[in-house]
Amino acid sequence: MADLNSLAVDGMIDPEIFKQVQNDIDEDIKVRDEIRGLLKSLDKHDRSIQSVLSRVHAVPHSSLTALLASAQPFFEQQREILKELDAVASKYPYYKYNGLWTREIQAASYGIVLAGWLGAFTLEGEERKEGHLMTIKEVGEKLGIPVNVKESDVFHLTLEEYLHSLITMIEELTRLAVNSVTLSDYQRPMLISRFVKDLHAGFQLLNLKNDTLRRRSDGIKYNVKKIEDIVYDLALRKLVNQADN
Amino acid sequence: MPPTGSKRPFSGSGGGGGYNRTGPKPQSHHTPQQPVPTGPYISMFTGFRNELDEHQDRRERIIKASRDITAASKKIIFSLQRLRPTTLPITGLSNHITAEILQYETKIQDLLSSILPDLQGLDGGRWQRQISPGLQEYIEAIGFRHYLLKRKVIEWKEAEWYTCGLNGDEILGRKKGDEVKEDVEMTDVVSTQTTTEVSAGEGVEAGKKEEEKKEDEKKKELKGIPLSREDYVLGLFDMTGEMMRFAITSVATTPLSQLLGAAADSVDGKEKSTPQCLLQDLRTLQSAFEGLDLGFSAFGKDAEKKLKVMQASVLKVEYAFYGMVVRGSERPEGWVAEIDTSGGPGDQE
Repeated sequence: MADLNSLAVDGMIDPEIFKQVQNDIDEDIKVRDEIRGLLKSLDKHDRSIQSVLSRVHAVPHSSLTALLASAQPFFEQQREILKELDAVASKYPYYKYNGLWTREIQAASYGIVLAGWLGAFTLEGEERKEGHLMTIKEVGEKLGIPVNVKESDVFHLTLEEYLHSLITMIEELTRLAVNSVTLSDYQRPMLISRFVKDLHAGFQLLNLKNDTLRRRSDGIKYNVKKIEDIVYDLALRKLVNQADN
Repeated sequence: MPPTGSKRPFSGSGGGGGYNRTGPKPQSHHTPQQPVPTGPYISMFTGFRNELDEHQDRRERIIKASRDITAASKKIIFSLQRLRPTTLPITGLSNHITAEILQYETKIQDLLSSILPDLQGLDGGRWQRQISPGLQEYIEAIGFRHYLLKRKVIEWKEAEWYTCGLNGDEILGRKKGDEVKEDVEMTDVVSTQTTTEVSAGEGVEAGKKEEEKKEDEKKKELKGIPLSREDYVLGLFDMTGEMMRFAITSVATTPLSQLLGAAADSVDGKEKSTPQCLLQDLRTLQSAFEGLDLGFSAFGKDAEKKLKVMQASVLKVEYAFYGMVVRGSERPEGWVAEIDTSGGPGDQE
């Protein structure tokens, strides 16, 4: 066995080790910066879409189709950015940088599910119909990214992100129920009420661990109650015929 | 005032005392009436539930394994800290320490290979944060052992060879006659003789061969647990705490005449005492770590904290030397101190 003195003292650490570590750290910082840059423009598009969609609270039914059409170019731009993000992110283990973009992806998914509910994606020639739940698969098709990937390590929309976006939509629909009444649309709150109750029943099936998704999912019941109050108000004043629904 | 009154201001109904909790379980009779949920999205969400449950189970298995690996690694470290005499390099671990370590390392390797299926592909990165405490602790242990035996910092590749969970048989010397990987220090764990002893002791090996072959085939399809450079570095940081403890023991148990044997005059490291070598190595590591530009990621913050702990460790060893120089000559000839090397900020997870 080697004795103490024959071991080169400075050979205790191979300098390569630390060079490698530094390279990795630098590379990591570079990747993060690159992704953040892309996220900035993704965030911009998320906001544009949301600003268009938020006008739904103020426009009557008749002009909604035109409003939704005006959001289409933003969706297309969003797809382009996502394609770029996909190209960068898929080079690295998905969950290594997932935390960087999860908020923006949730927002993108939310834009799609809300627009889809409002009937933005009805085929040409067909009449716009509200109340459709975009499945995670449909959201992925609209965003142009894979969803809920289980095997290969590529960029995608996760199930959790999709569920988050559904909850955001529920919150928005609650507001829409109030404002629909103001716009003298008494049928839409009934539609929202049924839809949100159905979704709530779905969320109640999930065994969520103690995280933000759990907390937000627990909050759905307050939205359900708020919408029920609206339906009650309408029914009490005979503004809707409950038998129709 | 009666003495019992003030003690239990919230005990509710007076009289009987605090044992009124043993009633029938509330609401247990409601369960049979639970309605089956219906609705358009129920089947979709049932699918989601199964999927989320699967993730959750996986996550819990990994966290549990990580904790157990941490515990076993700590025990390896304790065993190594009990080595005497504290003279480097240690040319071979005594049999009973080898046996101790083997027992813990078997546990670690079994745990690692048991969670391999949970860490394939996408899941490898997904549960990285859950497994990494265990990996770091294990690296601390094997890194420390590597250092004690070779006076070298373990390399990343080699560390990964240990932590990937695929090489348990070779690491533990379970298989004989296999080609030995060259860059592997089998001597760390078990010298060749002890290998045979251990295998013979287990006895059942031969009968299990067939099963093992099948298992091996299955395992070959599995990819090893990737070791991130971050975990490797953080494990090394923790290792310096163990070096500090070992150095303090070494300072305390080295006679003064040898302690500063070749203090000032030798620059090339010749004839340095073990504590001096340890201090020198700690300083080398310190300057190497200080030279890193860590960045501001979660890792950077973590490493920054550990860097502080490490600087404190070096100070401690330096202070131990100082103490020996100043007060050591007052010691009676042959007196060796008992120093408590446990505790301190190096004790972090």
